[in-house]
Amino acid sequence: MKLNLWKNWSIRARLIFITIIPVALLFCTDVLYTYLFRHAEIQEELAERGRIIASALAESSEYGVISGNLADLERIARGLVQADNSIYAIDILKSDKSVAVHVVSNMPQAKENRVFDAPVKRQLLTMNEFEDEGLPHVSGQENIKKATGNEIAGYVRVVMSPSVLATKQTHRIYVQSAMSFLALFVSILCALYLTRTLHKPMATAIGALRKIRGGDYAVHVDVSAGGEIGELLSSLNEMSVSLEESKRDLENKVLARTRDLEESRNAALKADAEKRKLIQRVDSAVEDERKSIAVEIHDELNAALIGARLSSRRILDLTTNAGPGSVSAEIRANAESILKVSADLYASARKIVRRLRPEVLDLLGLQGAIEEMLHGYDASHPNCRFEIRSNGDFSKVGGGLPIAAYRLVQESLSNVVKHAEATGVSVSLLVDEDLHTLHITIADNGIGFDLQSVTPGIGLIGMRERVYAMKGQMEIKTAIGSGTVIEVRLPL
Amino acid sequence: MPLLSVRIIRHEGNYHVSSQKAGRRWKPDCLYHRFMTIARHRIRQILLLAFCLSVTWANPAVSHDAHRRDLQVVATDDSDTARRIVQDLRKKFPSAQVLNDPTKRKPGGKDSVYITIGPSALRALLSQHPEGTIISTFTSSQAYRAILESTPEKRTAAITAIYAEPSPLVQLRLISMLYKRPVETGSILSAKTAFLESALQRAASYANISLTVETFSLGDNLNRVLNRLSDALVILALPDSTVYNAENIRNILVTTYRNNQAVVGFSAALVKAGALATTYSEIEDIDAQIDELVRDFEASGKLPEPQFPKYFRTIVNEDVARSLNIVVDESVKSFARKPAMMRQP
Repeated sequence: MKLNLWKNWSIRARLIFITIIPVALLFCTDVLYTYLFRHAEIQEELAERGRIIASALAESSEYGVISGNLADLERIARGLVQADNSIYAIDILKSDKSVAVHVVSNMPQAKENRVFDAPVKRQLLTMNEFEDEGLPHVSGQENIKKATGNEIAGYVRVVMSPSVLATKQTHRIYVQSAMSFLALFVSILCALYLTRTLHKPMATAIGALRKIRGGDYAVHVDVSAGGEIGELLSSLNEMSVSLEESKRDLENKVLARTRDLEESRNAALKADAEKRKLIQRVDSAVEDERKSIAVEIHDELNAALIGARLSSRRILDLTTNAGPGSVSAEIRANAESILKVSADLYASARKIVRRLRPEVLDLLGLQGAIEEMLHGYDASHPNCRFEIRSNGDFSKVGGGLPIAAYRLVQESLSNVVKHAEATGVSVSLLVDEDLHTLHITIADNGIGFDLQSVTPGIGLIGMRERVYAMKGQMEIKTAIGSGTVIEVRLPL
Repeated sequence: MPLLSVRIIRHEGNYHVSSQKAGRRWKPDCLYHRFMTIARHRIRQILLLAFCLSVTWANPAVSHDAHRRDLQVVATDDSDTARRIVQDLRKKFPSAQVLNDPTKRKPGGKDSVYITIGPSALRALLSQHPEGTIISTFTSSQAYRAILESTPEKRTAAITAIYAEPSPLVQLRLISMLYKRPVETGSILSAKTAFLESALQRAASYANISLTVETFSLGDNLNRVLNRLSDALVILALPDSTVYNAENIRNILVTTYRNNQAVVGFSAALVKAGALATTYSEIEDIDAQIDELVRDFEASGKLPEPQFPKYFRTIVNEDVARSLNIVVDESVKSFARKPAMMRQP
């Protein structure tokens, strides 16, 4: 488990932690070490002092032991016992281990008392003794050597008591602990003071940054501290001024750009509206012209063709009554040819009229006209089935909406027949009275196409413009291999 | 000194001066003629002798092998001290033989002169019962006496000594100089040195010093002996291993110091160990005295009595003096007598 406790700490907490932790650790280590090694230190110090005292006393007792000046030795021993509380007793023994001097302190006998013995050796000075044998006797300059003989004149026994040292050690621990605690306390105070001196400018800096984050760039902080913090606060002031200037420049640029965009948008909207208005007018004019041409063809051309047919029929009848003959036959043939041509022309004229102005709209309404259109497609394309579903009150569909819807379905079916390679086409017409909307859905099971990569043709653009002109919406859902669904919503 | 002839012998590159005593008598003749003859003869002798002396004086190495007698230096030990002594004596007596083992000595006659170095050499030589004269050197008086105890009295007539320890008289004079007045002095003698008591008393009397002598025997408590001398301001130490030995000397020095007593020792080593002062003789000092003794003996034919060192110097332990509140004058430090040759600049 990863410890991230300090990640959320404030600077104040971190500073206090950093400042106090070393001193606290030192304090704990010091006290713990002193406490744990107290006994060993006492024993070591006791042994060291005992050895030193015994050795020193043995060294200085040589004369007293040899000369028998025990009073002098007792005085020295008593002085040592009085001077050093850790000495419980001092015994000076003769060479036969009999006690010559015995000095005991006033302290009670302790079980932990330790005994240190040191032999009192007879110190020898090697010198030319001018004996009967040996080296030549020279009274002049010769080196003299000090040597320690093996002869032991006596013993010094020092009994050391650890109680005084233990008391001293305990006192030392208290004093040491008190000093460490004092150091800890001073460190805490210093940490708090340092924290305060650091936290205050940091808080000021953070407050300024918050204001800047809130968008208030007009921030000014008092630079009361020096060093890096002072530099930080100065930088904040400089940054706020820079940000304020940048903000002002940016706002001016945005305002200018917005103004330009609004103007461009307004121009575009105006152009779009004018374009749509123009398209609408063009469509309307086209429809009107189609209607006019259709009326002309129906009224004038068709009447003439009917008259020509009637005349041809009369000629044919007359030749029939005139009897056989080559001239009659030829007239009959020509009459029949004229009759046939006029009939074809009449049929063509009717088709043109129907295309220019589907009179079925006027006769059957939108629903019937589209059903008639689908019958026509179904008849002319035996590999593809066309069906229609309709719902709603189509009497509410009026004005220019039926012809627009008719043309949309007509263009969609034309595209399906040309590109979709579909085997089934479904056209749905729904009048939503609640939304005052005519829903038209043309769905096929054809090969579909990639809407992003395919550039829309004139027909699709015309459909879109026609929808926009009617203030409707059109949506195309298609993918390669998934057919195509065109949904159109036109307001009633 | 009646000299008949003086010969200069060049031997191994060194000049040896030899003189012979007159063995014949002057016949009475014309007094004037005799006087003039003698005068001319003496003048020639004096001039020649002066020349020889000047040559000798100018080069100490060519010095005093003017001894006609068979001179042999006996040194039985191979210590550094003995080697130094022999080396120095060889300069003074180049023709002298050095015997390290007396048993291998050449048989000598009555004219042989043996210089023994140290007590071991003396004892070893005496055990060989040689004829001739023996000069014991670098041996203390008590050791010399102890060694000669077993020697027949008749033989001892041809034996003399230059003791190793300082002269008691000189030591007492040093004490007077240290304290700038005659002071109460004590001395401890054992059976070995008891013979010195009379000499000590004579010297004290001569130096006008009150001397208290205490005897010490093996088994006695030395501190008690010292306590008996507590009235003395100075303890004059004599070489006596019964009293002053490696085991006792520290105790003696501490005890006397506690009694505010000074110890005037018998060697420079003892002063370094904690005695106040002493006169002492270096090897060169003793050798000079040997040379003089041999020369006198050659000249007079009389063997002098055993004698203390004639030439000496003084050593003072300044720390001890300071501890005993004794102000040591420069005259004390320079208290010495040096051989004539060494006095030359």
